[in-house]
Amino acid sequence: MLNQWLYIGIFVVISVFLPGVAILLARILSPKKPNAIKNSVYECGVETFDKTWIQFRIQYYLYALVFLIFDVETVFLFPFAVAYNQVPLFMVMEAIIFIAILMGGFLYIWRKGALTWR
Amino acid sequence: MSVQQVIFISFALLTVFSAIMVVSLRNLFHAALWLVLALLGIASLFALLGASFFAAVQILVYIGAIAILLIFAVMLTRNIMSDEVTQTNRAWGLAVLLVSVIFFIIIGQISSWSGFSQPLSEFTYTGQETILALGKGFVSPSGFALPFETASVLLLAALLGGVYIAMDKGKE
Repeated sequence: MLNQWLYIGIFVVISVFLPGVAILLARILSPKKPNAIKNSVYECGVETFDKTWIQFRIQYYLYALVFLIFDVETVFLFPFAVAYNQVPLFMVMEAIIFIAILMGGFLYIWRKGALTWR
Repeated sequence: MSVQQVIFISFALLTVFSAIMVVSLRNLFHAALWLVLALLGIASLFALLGASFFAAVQILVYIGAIAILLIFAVMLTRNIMSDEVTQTNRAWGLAVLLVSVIFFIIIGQISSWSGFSQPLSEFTYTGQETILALGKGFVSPSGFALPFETASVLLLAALLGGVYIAMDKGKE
């Protein structure tokens, strides 16, 4: 069992190691001659004109919320999809009902305009 | 100590450490980032138990969606990012005392149960069979068909309620 996870573990270690080395090497090798202009805060090459931590639009939260719901739906449907070949039609209908109930909610929020960016 | 024990202890320590960081850091945004690490530790504990599906779900739902939702919530909230809020109040000593007393009572009660010291039996399913069994259990009428459909209604309620509350009604 652990051998399967060893691959994932190796990838996790590499994925932490590579950016860590890149940041550390840059810190060691780079010359340090700071001045006021170099240390100033900038975004995309231009100077910032407001505070960095601003309040974001509520629309992002709505999208994340809808994403979370359909993420959980996927979690429920994935084991069913794996077992799809081995279950009778009656059980497939149950999964269709499961999707249909959520499809109703999806159509509702679509009609309500929650998915359009304003 | 076997290799598995070393792996378990290191992941458990990682989980506990990042969980402590979540509740003790003043900056809410950093706390949310530590929460991601804590959830990743939980996922690795699931993986060590052989519950690969739950490990994947933990990463997919908790890190992929819930932690992102929390980070969005922090970014959406005005003025909560400042570091002036303290994490403790006057009753923290009493709280530590009470929590540790309750912890030892619970541990004492559980350890008197006969199943506590019994070693876990080997999992009979291997590889993909766990997900197959789970999928069949979800939709079979003798299994969890009704909870499965109820979960759909619950998700519908969460979807509608969340969208209804979060939607900007001023511009309709």
